[in-house]
Amino acid sequence: MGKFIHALKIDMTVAMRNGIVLITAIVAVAYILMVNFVIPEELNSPFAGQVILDESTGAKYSAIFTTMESGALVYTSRADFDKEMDKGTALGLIIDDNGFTVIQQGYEGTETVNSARAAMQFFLDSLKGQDDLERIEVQSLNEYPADLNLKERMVPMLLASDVILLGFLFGTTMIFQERKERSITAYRVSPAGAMTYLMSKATLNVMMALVFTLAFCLFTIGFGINYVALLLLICVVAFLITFIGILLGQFFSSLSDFMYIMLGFMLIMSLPVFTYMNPNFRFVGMELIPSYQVIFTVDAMMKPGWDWMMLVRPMLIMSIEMLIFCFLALTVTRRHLLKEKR
Amino acid sequence: MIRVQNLTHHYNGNDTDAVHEVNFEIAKGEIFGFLGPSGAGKSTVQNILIGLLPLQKGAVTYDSDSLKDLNKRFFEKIGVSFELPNVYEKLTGYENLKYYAGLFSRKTDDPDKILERVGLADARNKKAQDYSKGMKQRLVFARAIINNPEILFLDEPLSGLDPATAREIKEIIRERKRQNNTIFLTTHNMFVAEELCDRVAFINEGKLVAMDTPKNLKLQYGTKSVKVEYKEGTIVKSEIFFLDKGHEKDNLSQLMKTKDIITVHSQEATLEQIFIKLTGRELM
Repeated sequence: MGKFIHALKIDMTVAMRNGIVLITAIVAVAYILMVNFVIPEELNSPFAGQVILDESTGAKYSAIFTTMESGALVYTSRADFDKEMDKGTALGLIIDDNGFTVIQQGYEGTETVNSARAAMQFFLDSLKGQDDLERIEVQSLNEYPADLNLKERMVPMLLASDVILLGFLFGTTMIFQERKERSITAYRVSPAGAMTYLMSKATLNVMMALVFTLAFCLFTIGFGINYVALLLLICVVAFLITFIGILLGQFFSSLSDFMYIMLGFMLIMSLPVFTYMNPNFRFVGMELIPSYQVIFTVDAMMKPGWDWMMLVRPMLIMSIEMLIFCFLALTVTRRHLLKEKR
Repeated sequence: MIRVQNLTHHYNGNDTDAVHEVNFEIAKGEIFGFLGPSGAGKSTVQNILIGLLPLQKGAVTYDSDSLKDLNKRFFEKIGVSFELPNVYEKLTGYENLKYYAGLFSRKTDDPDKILERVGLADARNKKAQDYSKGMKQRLVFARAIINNPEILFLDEPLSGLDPATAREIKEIIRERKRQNNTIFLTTHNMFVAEELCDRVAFINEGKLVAMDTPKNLKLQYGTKSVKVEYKEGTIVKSEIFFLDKGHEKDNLSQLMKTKDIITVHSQEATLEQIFIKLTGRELM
């Protein structure tokens, strides 16, 4: 234990003097300011909804639309409709006695167009007494589907970006520095060993990740989350990321050589962000990406009704990954980093 | 005792062995000098001895323990001083020693005492990145002895040091010898080897070409001759006598009796000259 404490002291002092702690603090402050003062609670979408032109005989539908409070703008004049459509922010629907036509701006998603089409068809069917609303049952897979506002939704993503990306970068940077100044050769002939080397760097990263998480979450979402569960999750992911960083960093001689790997890693880690923004983006194995687990588990934790059982699966996945990468990093450190080139 | 038998090492991609069939023994309390030019195989041998390179062929034993069976405890009892400075640049001199000492289970020396000994007491709180090359070299040496090692591996320990500091470091090395520490000293500086080592081995192109005490090597490979300077009237003259020729001994004796002798110098060869004689290469 004494050796580990001293190895950690070396790493902590070097990290502080290298500015790693300062960078983490600056990122934390920047994220806190961004969430609190820059990001709005709701985003005004450029898509302003639907504009309807009623060309039916006697404009018989327009009154009905108005009383329905559908939120759509209803016109009976073609000129007014065109003027609204020219703003380029709405989906158009022209309804006449024979049916309706959808006018797209061109950028709308298929989902948007199809839902507008289905809604209009349902509207027309219901007027004819052909609707079957009674038979439509809505069930939710999520027992607590309460939505987070935009500010809150940013928290899991920013948390993942710091803990994962900065953690990965710092772990590898320390290896490259030790190689450059050759202090690693001194460590090689000490009795401290590979496990101490690995664990001291991982522990440093975990400590920084925990402090960052505490500061960032306290100043953004306050006490609206179970901090014990959150810190447990961050602890495991920070260990995992450091092990991955140390494992990969050993095969490269400098940070510039490592740049391509780092970019690839960042790309993979950012994929779950797309899924978070649009759940349609998903592929097999995505759950294995650490950032996915951080983003979605923290998101769930922030919603009312979260319970500890929801932490079991992500923790299990990341703990298994952590053990695998710990073993690999340890083996490579022992045989590669702490030995001379053969 | 360190015993090295038939040590051979091959680097991938090279045609020849970096070290080939090397044999030597180092007794406890002995300073053993390993001399050779750059690329001769000195570092390879040292890296195998300290476990940084795998033992491919041959045997290395410390007392009766094979190098292959040595574990972390082995590193508790060795100290290694590297030729190139390899300190934590962001740490101060004191922190470098203090934290490094913490990596050992055994009792270590007071960093301040060692810093004072190697002349770095005034720079204890200065970051190592601000040290000169010589200061870093001293810090590396200080770190090598912080754990009171039983075996010291010193790679060019006096390189880049001023004469006064070099004298102090040499004295520390001699002190360690008196404490019965075994010292493996790698150098290409013949004067350092001659001054400090009980025995030296010459290595060239991965092979040992000679091994003995500096004195014996000189006797074996040097020329037994004496240069005498004497006064004849107001003129200073000199003459060289080869002692392995019987009649020259008589001539020397005669000269000593009859002339006003100013100086007498033995004409023994230096280790450098012997190395050149044996290998055709210079040490530097």
